[in-house]
Amino acid sequence: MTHRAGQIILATAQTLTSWSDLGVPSVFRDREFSLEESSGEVPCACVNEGDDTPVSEEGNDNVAYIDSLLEVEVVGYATGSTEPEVKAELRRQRREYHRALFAFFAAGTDPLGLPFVIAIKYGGAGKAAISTAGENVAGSMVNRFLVHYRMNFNDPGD
Amino acid sequence: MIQFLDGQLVRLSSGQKFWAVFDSEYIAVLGEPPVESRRPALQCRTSEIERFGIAKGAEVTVGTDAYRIERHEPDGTGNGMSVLLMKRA
Repeated sequence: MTHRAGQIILATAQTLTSWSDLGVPSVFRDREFSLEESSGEVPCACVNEGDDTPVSEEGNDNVAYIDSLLEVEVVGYATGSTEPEVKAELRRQRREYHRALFAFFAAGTDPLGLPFVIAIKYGGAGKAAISTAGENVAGSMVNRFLVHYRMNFNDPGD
Repeated sequence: MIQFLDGQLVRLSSGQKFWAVFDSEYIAVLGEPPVESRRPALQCRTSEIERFGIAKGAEVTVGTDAYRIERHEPDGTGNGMSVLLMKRA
């Protein structure tokens, strides 16, 4: 099985896709191709893998397992006629990403449905990036979530 | 009304009409991954812009598509032509 970090990215995308209030038609993982507005690829969310940092400064405190903190970026994209309209949509998306990824609290289930994920922590968001160069105003916003997970000492994909 | 050989009829919200060459070049905005977009523009006579008082924010229709004028750029070559950059209305 792939590294648990990869399983977290996949589970994040699946969690967002299955969230009925998400309001964006597509959730992409590790998207490298450009997003085509005319084909309906915007609005969307792109899930990206960020830095993965040991929870302990020494890397691991225990020979039985390793705890790590993976930064997951959920980048929301939107277009519209005006900048306030685009920013409002990015904020709406931000709210739904938050609700979707923290829904496990109320449901009492494993975060992201993964038994090795200990917690999801709020990581804030970047300032909305806005472009007025095209025929529509386009914007994106990086939303960050820190996923605390545990992996086996011998095999981080096990 | 001067008709361009490869032009299109542009309608102003006032009902007035003029001819212009419509262009909509591809551009990529934002980044990694970029969003594909278009840069719609009209090339027309500067005298017509002045005659109709076309200003920033003016609404125009090209075919069935509605736009707002974003910027007027005289082409600076002295031939009396200008480019109007537009956004979707």
